[in-house]
Amino acid sequence: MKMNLLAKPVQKPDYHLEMMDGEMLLYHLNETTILYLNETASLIWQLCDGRQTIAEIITLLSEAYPEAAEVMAAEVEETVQQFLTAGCILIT
Amino acid sequence: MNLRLISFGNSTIGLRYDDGRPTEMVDFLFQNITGSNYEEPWTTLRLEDHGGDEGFWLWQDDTLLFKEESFEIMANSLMSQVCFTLAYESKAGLLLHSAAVRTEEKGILLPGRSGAGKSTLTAWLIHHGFGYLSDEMVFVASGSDQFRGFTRPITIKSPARHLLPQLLKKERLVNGILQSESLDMVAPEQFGVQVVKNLSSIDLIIFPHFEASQGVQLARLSKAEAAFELMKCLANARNLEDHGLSEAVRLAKTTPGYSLGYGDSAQAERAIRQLVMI
Repeated sequence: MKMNLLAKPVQKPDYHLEMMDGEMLLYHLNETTILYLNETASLIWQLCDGRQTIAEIITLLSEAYPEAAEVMAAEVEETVQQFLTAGCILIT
Repeated sequence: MNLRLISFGNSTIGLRYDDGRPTEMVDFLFQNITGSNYEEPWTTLRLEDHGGDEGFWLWQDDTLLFKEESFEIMANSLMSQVCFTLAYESKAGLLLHSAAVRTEEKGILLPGRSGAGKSTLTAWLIHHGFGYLSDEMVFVASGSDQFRGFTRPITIKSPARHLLPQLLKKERLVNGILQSESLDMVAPEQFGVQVVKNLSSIDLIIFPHFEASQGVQLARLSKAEAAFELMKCLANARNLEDHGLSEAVRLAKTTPGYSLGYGDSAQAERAIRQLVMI
């Protein structure tokens, strides 16, 4: 299913974060679920603040990492979809 | 009836058993495992021998858990139940599904869930000179940089039996080997190995995963990846503050972690020896 790039992803509360060398473990204490996020996924997670659209996240990261700009849209969409599947974000 | 206390991971259980075959079974399974005289057992297992078709009965307090004719199958069931029951109340540290071996210099954790090849790799390694700590579970107390292994007999499932032909062509309980159709339980002493019952330093964490016909694939894990893998191998998360995450992270930050895919134990041994040399 095509993702709506104007949607604004927002983190759900109650997640405990452990940052290690730019990567992240995302842990929900009540649901006892844990996610490993690589560096890019960690950045995407931090940008899921409910204010920025998916398109804006793609633009931000493409500007920050121009060498990966060509694949950034697909990577952001895929990661946001993984967050949705894991239940750790909402789309507004 | 005899009583033996079995302690591991800040958890103590009692095991009551009859004379005769139950004593033979318990002596074989727990010869390298001690109990604490200072802790009350939180529960008691009871092994009875009713003979004939009735066979062995295993109870936990007032609940009958298993009835089994076969000595070998009941031995495996009893060991599984003891591990589960110890983990159930284990606290104040990480109880990991993990094998563990050591060289003179380094203690090595080999965490992995069932099917990862922990026991087979452990058997191979100790047959080739590594010290033995466990093929199934280890405990790292909170804040500690050391671990202890649950020094049970090594359990080799039948699909891996062909890897150790020279060791397993023995008769039941002769020379410390208990064979059944589905698995073999081998006393670690059978490998002529040193059983390490003391605390050991944690110097390497290697996550093995066996896949037939694949070559060795060794990869350094990031700290986050190692902590993530450790969390997947945690057996007592429900008893720990933050489900053990902060302790898993601490361990991953202080100890190098590797992923080791292998289809041949000899290749895996060479890869592990290279890591030990680093």
